[in-house]
Amino acid sequence: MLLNVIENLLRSGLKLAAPLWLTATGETFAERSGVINIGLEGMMLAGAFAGMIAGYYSANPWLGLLAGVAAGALLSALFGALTIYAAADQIIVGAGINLLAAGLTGFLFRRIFGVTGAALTLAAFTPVKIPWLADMPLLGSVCFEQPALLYLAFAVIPLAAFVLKRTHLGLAIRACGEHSAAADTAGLNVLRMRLGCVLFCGAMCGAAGAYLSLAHANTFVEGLTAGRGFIALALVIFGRWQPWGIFFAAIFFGCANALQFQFQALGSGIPYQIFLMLPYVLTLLVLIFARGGVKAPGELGKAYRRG
Amino acid sequence: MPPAFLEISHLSKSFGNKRALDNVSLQFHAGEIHAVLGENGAGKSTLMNLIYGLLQPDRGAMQLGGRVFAPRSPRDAIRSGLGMVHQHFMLVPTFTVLENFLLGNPRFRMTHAGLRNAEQEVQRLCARLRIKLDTARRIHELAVGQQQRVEIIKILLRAARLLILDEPTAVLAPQEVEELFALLRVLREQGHAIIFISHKVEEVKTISDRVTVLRAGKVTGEFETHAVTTAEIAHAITPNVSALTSKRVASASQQKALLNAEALCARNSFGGLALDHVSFTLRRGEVLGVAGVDGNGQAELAEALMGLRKLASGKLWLEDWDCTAATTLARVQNGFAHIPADRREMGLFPGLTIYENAAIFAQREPEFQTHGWLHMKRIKVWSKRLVQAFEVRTDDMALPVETLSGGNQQKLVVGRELMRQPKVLVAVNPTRGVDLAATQKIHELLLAEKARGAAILLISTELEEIYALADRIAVLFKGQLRGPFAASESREKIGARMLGAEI
Amino acid sequence: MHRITVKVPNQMKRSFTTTLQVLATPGLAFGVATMIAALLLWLNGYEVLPALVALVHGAFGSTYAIAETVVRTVPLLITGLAVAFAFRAGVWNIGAEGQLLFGALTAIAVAPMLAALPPYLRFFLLLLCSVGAGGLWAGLAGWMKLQRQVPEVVSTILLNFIALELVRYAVHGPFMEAAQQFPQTDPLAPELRLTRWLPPTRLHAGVWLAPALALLVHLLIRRTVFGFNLRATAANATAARFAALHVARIQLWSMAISGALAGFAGAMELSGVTYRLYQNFSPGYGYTAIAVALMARLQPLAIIGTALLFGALENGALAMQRQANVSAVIVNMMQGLVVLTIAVAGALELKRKT
Repeated sequence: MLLNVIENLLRSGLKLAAPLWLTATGETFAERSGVINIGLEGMMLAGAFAGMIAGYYSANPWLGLLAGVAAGALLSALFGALTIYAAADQIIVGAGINLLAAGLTGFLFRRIFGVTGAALTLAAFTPVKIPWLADMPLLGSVCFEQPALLYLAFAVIPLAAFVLKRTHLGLAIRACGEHSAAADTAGLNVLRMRLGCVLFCGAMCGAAGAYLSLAHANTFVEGLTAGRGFIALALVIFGRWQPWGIFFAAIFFGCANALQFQFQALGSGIPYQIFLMLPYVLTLLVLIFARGGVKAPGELGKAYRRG
Repeated sequence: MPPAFLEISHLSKSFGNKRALDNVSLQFHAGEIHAVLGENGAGKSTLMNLIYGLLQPDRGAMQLGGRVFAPRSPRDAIRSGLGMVHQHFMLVPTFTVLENFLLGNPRFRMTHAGLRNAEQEVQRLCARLRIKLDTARRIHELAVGQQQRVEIIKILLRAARLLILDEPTAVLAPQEVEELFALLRVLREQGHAIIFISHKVEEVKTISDRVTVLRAGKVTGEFETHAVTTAEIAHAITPNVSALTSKRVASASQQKALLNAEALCARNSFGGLALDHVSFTLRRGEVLGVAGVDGNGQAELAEALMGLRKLASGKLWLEDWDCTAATTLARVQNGFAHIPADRREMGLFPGLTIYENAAIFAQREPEFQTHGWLHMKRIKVWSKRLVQAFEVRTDDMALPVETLSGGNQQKLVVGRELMRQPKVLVAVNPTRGVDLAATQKIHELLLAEKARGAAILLISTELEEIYALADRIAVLFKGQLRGPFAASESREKIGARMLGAEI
Repeated sequence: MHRITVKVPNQMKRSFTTTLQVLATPGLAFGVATMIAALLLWLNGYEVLPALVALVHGAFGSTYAIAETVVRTVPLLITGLAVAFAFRAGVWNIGAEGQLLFGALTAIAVAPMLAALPPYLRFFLLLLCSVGAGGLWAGLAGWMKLQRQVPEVVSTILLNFIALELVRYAVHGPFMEAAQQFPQTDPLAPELRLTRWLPPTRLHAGVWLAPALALLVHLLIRRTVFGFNLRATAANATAARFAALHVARIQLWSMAISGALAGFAGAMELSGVTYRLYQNFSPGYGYTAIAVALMARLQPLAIIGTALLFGALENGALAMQRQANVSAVIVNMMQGLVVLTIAVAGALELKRKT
């Protein structure tokens, strides 16, 4: 019984965590290169919407994923052009992107599916059972009986960690965020490097959005992302700008979120709204009490201009 | 003589109406240390930025190794074998030494074998230069002199043949200067061309083979170092060197002590000891000069005196008032004033008007407010008085303060402190980066303050300035204060103490 | 001492040209947003002109429309002031939404406790509680920034969600209406409501308070020692420290005052318009407020204008939705475009100056 509860908790916790770590990993790259993008929510929403549209009309969730990634990247290209090349304030542009995406997706959704938004059924990602591994007790169904997209999301973390830590690209990205003038004099193109990171961030947001509409909710509603972009923003700090840190922070968070369903199922008598609040409160508490000594990238939020 | 490694002919560059560089021709040779001297604004940095590709000339051309050289960016310059050691090091502080070498240098792969190769190459280079280097340390853990060495090696690893060093000694302690000079001599031996930018005649005389002096964008002197005296070089830099001296007025040395500092100790931002038992007495109506090379605790001393840096130990008295733990506000209200070392960073409020910048202290006085509401008219009248009294040239005081020229900004910052008629004035490099006219005006103002009875602590890295104004001279070295000595003490002795000598 | 003569013509000339400059950027931003929105409508096969006519008519076409536009403007104006105040002080308060909600929730919670007091005192205390609650909610983020180095952008956003969930919990649980039918509270007691001037519109007696508040905030920023110190701190915190200003305290107070304003907006909306609290009590006023404040270049008096513009847009968009079947959320998109254009214009201006 207890094992069952834990299994269910981890299973849905992991599912809830995947879009968070995808988005937060993207944001880590952006922030490590010196750009703070608070438009994650909007980029996820764009990804979710585009993923839904493409998935709906093509009946192929992979095309949906592709469309989601493209939509997120497109929006982040706008963000990057304004903040990196025109040197506009990153916080303000990020806030603008969120408004823009909410309005645009809402408008188009109602245009296509009507003001009421008839319930959609999508050809979504279905769980793929990996032979043998899935039969393991506990972890089997948690890790190896999930939508294919989740397996891909798993792969992102070690890859991201490797790139940041062990490659010239990662070194260059980190240098842009810590001391952009040093990166510039070392012959790197700081602006292009930052744009690349922001585009990657947008693509990850788009993938996370497509995950939400195609592998999690299996539908689209206005405001589907429900603040996950902002949670991801906090998770980056929580995970100390490290992919693995973010991964575990996201899982912790996802499980806290999943608790709510478990408790509802168990009928504990605690109002479920408390559990809805729990993730945000936990994040806030973690930020207050567990920040010791880790600093944000030195030039986070500052536009780079030569001279 | 062999053909020059880098030859520049008839370079000119203007910014608006200002001729920053006017028809300058120079030759830099391999195996030679070539010093470029001049005051602030003489055109040194413009020249270097042209060579390094950060700027492009209006007229003139360059040749590198016999071929046309017209860099459009530092990248071009680096690729052509140039390297620059900036005054502010271009190292990522959170990276290790090795990571800084790898950055943007794909020659070294980031595999295990690649890293081992890189390490070996670095160590080979270090052996050749007769220095030691631990590549696993992080930059922010290193002393400034070591960081500079990392910077030089980083450049050499990119196969630089010509090194440009921009005021490399400004940030160094005297012993580190010696080590740097030793390294530069080795590099010269091995055939590198070195451009050494400075405004200090003595060190140029020590290290260089050839000297070029710039003044107002023109070459005013070219010498073989061994065949010229420091006086001749100094004359080429500023024809009337005596401009700053001879203004000192007699001080009342019998006056009683106003400010008493007893064994002040304070830590710097990295936890090291920045002030090491600093004690001094400042009398009414005197200027106590604090000489020293930048980075020996000057900033920390000013901050500690103004209550912006916590004292680890020690006591501070203003007459009978123990102000060791007093807030900045309490100090300001009781007669402390401070001219900051960097007006942009620490003095001015960009975006606020000239009125507002002038009135930052005054507006809190009861005269200018009732229950927190400001009397705008009185503030404006008062600010105009300040601007006129201190000869800040401006057409319109409602414009943002950044529209003022550097000298006028500085006069505003100085005036705003002096209007308060302080008892104690802590002035840190009060004339840094302003022209001669403004410098003279500011010096006059400081001497007038002294005549009024203020006690002035003049912390300056310019020995000339100290000698022009101070009644007694102390030396700050590695957080320790030596002296004070009489103003008649010879420059040689003070200079030696600035380098750490115990005389 | 010198007598100073103020050259009036020079100053007038300047104020005229600066007025033009000040209007140019927001005008451009609004133009860009409108054009893109129109283009989007056209691309999606809507008839652009009738849709826009419906929008304008819905915002200003009748006494009713105008009254509702003004009603919509009030919370935008006050939260706009809240955002502008924080931004002027150099702190990024993205949390006006949460502060507004928390202010309204506190009002609902304390209202029954005040029942024994005379009506005017009750109303006054109610406002005070909302203002205090908003201030505390923002002050929490301020404290986290100064004591725990938590960026206020992140903390205020998280606090928005927490406030929203608190409201959701309250209206489903402890404060649910007596009838237990809908997730909403019972209406405020009649003596705690603001008089309605023009029934059946919801134009209430509190609308004049919003512009008065704008004037007050303007004076606070421009004419007081606190406002002076606040602007100095935002311009250069290091220089402010050398000038003996208590930078941390100033930033904390700015955050708290900003939150207090947002809390006040919540109380006004509650006692003037909705009377009840429910989950969608605020249709994102606190987020729209960012656009309102930025479009006004953070000038409190200009916020009166930009809030009215957005109030009209949002109100008109509802009519457009009814009559031309265009989703009203298109207004969000326009707000986003305004914010982006203003941000870029600001950056380019800075570039020209330096």
